[in-house]
Amino acid sequence: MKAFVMVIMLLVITGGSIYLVKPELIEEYLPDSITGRKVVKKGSRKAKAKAAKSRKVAAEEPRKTVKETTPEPEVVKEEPTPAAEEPAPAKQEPAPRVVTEDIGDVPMVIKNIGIIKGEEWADCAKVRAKVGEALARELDKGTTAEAKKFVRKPKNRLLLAQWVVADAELRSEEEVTSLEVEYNSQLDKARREFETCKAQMEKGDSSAAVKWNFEKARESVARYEGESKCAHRFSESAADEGGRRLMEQIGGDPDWLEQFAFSGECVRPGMALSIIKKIYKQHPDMLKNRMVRDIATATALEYAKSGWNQQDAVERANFYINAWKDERLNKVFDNLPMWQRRMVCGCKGDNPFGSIASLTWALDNFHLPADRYSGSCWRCSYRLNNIYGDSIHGPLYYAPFESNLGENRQAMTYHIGGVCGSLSHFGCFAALANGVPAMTAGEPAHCSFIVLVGDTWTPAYSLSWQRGLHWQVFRRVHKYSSLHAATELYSDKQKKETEVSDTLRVMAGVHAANGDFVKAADCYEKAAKEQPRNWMAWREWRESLEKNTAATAKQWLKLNDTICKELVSLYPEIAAEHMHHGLAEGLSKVLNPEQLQKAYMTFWQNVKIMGPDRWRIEELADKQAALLGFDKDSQKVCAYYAEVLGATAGNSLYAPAVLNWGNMLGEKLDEAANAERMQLTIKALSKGRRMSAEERGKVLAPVIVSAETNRDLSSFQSLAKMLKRAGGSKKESPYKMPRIEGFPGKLASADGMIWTSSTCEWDKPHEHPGVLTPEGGSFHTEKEEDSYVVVQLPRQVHMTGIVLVSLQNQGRLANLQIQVSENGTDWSDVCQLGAFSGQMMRSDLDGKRPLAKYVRILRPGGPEFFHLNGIYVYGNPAA
Amino acid sequence: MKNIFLTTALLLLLTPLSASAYTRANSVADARSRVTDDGYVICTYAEDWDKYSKSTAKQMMEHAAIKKALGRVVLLTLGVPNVSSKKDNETNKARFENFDLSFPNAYPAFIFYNKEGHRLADVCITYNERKNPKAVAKRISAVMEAAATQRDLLKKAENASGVEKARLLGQAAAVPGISQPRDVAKKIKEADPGDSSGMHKFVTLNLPEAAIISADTKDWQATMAEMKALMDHPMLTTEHKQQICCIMIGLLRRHAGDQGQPQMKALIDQLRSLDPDSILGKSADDAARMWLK
Repeated sequence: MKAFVMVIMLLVITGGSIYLVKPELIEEYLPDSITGRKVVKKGSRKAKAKAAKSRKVAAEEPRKTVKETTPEPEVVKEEPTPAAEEPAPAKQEPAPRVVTEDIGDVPMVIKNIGIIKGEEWADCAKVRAKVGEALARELDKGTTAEAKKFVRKPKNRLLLAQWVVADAELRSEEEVTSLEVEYNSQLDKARREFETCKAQMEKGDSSAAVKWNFEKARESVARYEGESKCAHRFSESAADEGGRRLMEQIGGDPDWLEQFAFSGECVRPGMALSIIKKIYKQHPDMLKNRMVRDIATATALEYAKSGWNQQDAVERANFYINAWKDERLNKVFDNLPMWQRRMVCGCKGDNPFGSIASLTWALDNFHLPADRYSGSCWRCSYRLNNIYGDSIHGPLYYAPFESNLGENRQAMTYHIGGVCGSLSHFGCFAALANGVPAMTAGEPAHCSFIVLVGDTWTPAYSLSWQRGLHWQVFRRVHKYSSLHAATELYSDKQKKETEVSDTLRVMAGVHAANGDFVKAADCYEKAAKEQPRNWMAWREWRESLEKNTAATAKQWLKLNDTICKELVSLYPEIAAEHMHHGLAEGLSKVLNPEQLQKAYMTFWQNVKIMGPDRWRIEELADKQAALLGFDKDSQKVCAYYAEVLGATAGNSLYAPAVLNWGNMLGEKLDEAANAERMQLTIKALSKGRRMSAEERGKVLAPVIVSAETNRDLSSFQSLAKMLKRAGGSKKESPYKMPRIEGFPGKLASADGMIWTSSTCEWDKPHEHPGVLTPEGGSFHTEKEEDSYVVVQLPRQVHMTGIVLVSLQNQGRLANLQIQVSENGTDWSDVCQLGAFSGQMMRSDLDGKRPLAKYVRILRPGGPEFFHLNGIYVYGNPAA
Repeated sequence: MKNIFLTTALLLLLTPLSASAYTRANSVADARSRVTDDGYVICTYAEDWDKYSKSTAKQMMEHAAIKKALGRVVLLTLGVPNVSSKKDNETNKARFENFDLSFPNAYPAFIFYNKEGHRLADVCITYNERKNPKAVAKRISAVMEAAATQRDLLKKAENASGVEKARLLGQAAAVPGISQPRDVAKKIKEADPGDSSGMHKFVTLNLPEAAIISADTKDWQATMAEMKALMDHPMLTTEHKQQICCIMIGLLRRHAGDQGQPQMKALIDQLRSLDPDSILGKSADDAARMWLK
């Protein structure tokens, strides 16, 4: 009895202390027996009212902001090592979930023209089986002609979409469970932090810091608790009357359900329904207003795909619905295809730039035509340190402004500044807030962004073609080409092919689900051939081979050969991506070395075009060499390199890149092996003829010009090294260069590239690389007006000066103009030079320190030739 | 006689009203032939990608308060499509000659230039302001007044020399709400090579850059002294002083340890009191929370 009284007293004292601080905490965290709160049965009126109140409280809680401390690096390989964190608690089975999401009465506005009722969606295995049977009956021949006829009818399109959505729900179960475990873990962590802060306050620590942390912890707990009560599956979201009626209409309308199934990846559709339900509660006109419905669906699909907070999804959808209703968005938003609408409404749902405060500020303050967003990032100041002197590469850069601007990262960046990560996010979200598709992208040690301008994806603040997308239309495909492939895949022009392809893909899925992998492979092949841009068709084909333990070498080769034939000629980077995503490994398990090498070579024999931009050709070649086991054997890897070079020597787009790969291999080889490699290179390029140094230069000249034309700096530099090696250590420069007196900072142009306005009979492209070296080189344009040479720097710099050397005919070179650019297209004047005094011209730019990634030396007027023997740009790195 | 007198009086009465209205020009050549001291304004708006922009721009241009606020500027208009072609850009460049057409932050907007074509300020009209022309007129008036003040100072500077000229140029540069006059630093240096007026230091002051440098300074106490001395410069604005406070707070935090706490507290209080509602002023509370013990 005494013990019981003491416990009660302890609880009362504890509760009283808490009550003094935050009375509302009492109810949340003390047992019902103490608070006198009555236990409410699930399903009762009180339970529903309580759930509604919880939802209201959750809706009113401010969002937790996520601090951005460093610029986002290139996605695929260069993720920074995370700071050490406390050990994660052991994984546990999620607790039984209590989900209450009743949204009340939902009118039946849209007719269900299909065979699946709303309540059936609670069991997707049955839905998939039922729809699968119907499809198998209708598409028993499995031919393309049959598919073409089938897909014309809306009822049939609905069947296809139903199968995909049900299948997606089943595929998603593992991910949903992982997400729940993760959420529970985060909730536990938040609760522990809350308890810690609570304890500190109970001890009498009422400092601003502790109060701040306490509030943050409380918000965090509410946020995760709110999420833990949300539905994640159809069995939860379609369990109540409102959900069933909503799903009856979504699942019964081909237009609506196709958005789930065929506008990109369908992941966790049950969670998407849960989000749509919440949005419906605030926008019941969704059932009659097509745009409201589209915005809700786009947002829900994206947030479900990434497993982001559902309340955030509702707020995001609200923003776009209200902005659209007020007619504030850029007109392009009205006609966006669903996959782009998903990008706009659902981009980076977990990023503070996407908070409602940020988006609202951007819509109010950066309202621009679509083609101006690419320059909008420069309205913010590029600053490595804030006004307190704290570095962007630490946690304190934005910290002093958190309480005032923490929710509004756009305003924060505008007023405080940042570096590439903040600036690119600023520009990207300025576009997104106004309804213009955009996304950020990772580049080596840099963050850029991409904006849709008209029909063209336009990189902005971009320093490299090595771009990894931060938003993916196809899961786990970060490649830039995927954006272009998706644009075509979902275009009106390709609509018929895409629909037929998806029909065949679904049929393949039905066969695979029934264990008939032969029929599945046959349908996948037809699907992929019908629409080679259909990433999902290729991926699922490969996955079915992986699941089929009896898959033969012939079947794998079929996939490989079809990719090489159908896709390599359209999007070689995407074709290579299939290699990286398992095709290369799959082949290596079923083929002998000789067959495998032949299979890999099929790619190089079929590649013709580059695609939207240069891609990581060297990476593919490396991977193939590794899977062939050649990476440990210098002779074999050189032989493979020679074979690949032989296949691509005639292709001016690929030869420089393969040469570059050869040079990368050469860095790991000894001198003898490198000499052998050089011989193989020359043999491959010259097709066996013996050559002098001059001839060698001439053979490499077109490859150098190609590298320059393609703005392929890494290949240009590789060729420069190759030329140097070919010359041997005894070679002297033919140019007697003066001693170069530089400027403060580094010689920024050392590892750069040049290209000129034209070439002529006196130009020697194999001497272009030397122009950037102390040994000198040369370029020579045609006799023309406004001739120029451009130096592309390896990285952006603040220039401190430039030195030009010309060993002859300096009279032609008066009044040269120095210009700089960030993108190689838009130029700003820096200064005009006078006449050459002697062989050298120096221009001190330390006072101006212009920011440059490209430096153009323009010879205005003419017509006249333009030639130099040395260009040396000095400066300090800017990024 | 009486009629002539009345007519003349009437004309004289009406002239100031019409003289205060802006003049529409169709081309830059036309505008240049009619420009007054009030300079030029380009009213730019969305052509096809925004529902409200064009009509808002039109309404604003026709509103009496806006007309009054614009004084005797010469007004040109520029519609901007969602995607400008290369031809569009070349046409505009030719049409607007040397005018700086870099885009404002939002459309529609009034972009102000002085008589010499130097860009002074942008007044962007937000969505909420589109039904409040008087608020826009107020902002336009502020720009026009600032431009007039700067103009007067520059005129005086033209007739002055040496330190006095430098001082006047510095004051012209310090007029809030508009950009500094073109090449003002160079002109101040020419007038006052030794910078005894302190104006060259003022117009070239770059405190954010100073903050970056302070992060790596080897002699933080010297930097502190430098900042302290700078605080006494007579031309400093409130924002300048707040920036100096921030730099000094950062230095103390990184280098002075516990001994720096009293001084840091004093600076945080000063930062706040200079302008509590500004972004820097509001950061004082976060700074106190994070760094004061």
